[in-house]
Amino acid sequence: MRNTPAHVIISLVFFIGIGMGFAYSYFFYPDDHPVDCMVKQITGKNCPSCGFTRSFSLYTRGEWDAGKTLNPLSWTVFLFFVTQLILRLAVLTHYITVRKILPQKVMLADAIISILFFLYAFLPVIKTL
Amino acid sequence: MPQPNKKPPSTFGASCKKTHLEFAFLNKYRNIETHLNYTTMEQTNTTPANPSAGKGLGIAGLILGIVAAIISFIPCLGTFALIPGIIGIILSAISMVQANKAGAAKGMAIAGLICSIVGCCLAGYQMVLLKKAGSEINKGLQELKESGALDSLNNTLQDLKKLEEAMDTTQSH
Repeated sequence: MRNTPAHVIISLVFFIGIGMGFAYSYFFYPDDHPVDCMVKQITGKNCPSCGFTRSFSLYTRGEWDAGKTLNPLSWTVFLFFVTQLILRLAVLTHYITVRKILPQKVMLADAIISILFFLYAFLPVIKTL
Repeated sequence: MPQPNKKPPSTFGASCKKTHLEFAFLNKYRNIETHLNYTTMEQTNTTPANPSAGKGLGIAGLILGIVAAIISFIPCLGTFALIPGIIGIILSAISMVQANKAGAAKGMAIAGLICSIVGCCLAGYQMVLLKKAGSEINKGLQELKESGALDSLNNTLQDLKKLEEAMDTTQSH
């Protein structure tokens, strides 16, 4: 593990984290989430991020339209996490099969794509504040 | 026949030659030595003593920074990004100091520091917004209390309850 390149360790951590998130979304039913929104509990009204976990639950089961009705902004965020899961898996499989560090250009492209997609997915969410 | 007093062959020239050669050799040797010393000094200046110094902390700092940045972009939940953000800043700073001391690469520590700071800034912004909203709600409630609207609302609610009870009793009869 000590000689493992940094980007492989980071990819492994995020792959496990995102994978666990998807597993949680899949195994907890939309109406049975143990986490309640703090703002909704106090005010009784939906906050801008209300419905994210429920819609993620529906997306992981393949119910796209139903998920979009709960929170329309969640779709791009879900796509961001799906692409991240695929990218991290690609990095890990490359390291396991080839046993070589990724070229500098590929790593840079990975970082730029991730940052741009992150901004595309999350900027509309933060703008609702 | 006695031989003429022949002077013994002087060794002066030979010794001179020898010393000259020695001197040249020593000079060359010294040059080589200084060159070697110079190159080793150069090598120590460019190659770090421990190239992996602060690597682990840098990775941890970067991961926490990315997590903080992602959480901070979620409305209402963003204030919780302060926890990984602050830890990320601390870890990245320590890793940067370690990398600086060892002369190792510090790109990851810098990236972690930037992500953590961005996450903390957004979390702080959301915290300020939530505090503002809370104080405005409190203000509105106090104004309602002062105007007496809350009391009248309570009275009407109690009246409604009484009416409901009366309706239930009449229905049961």
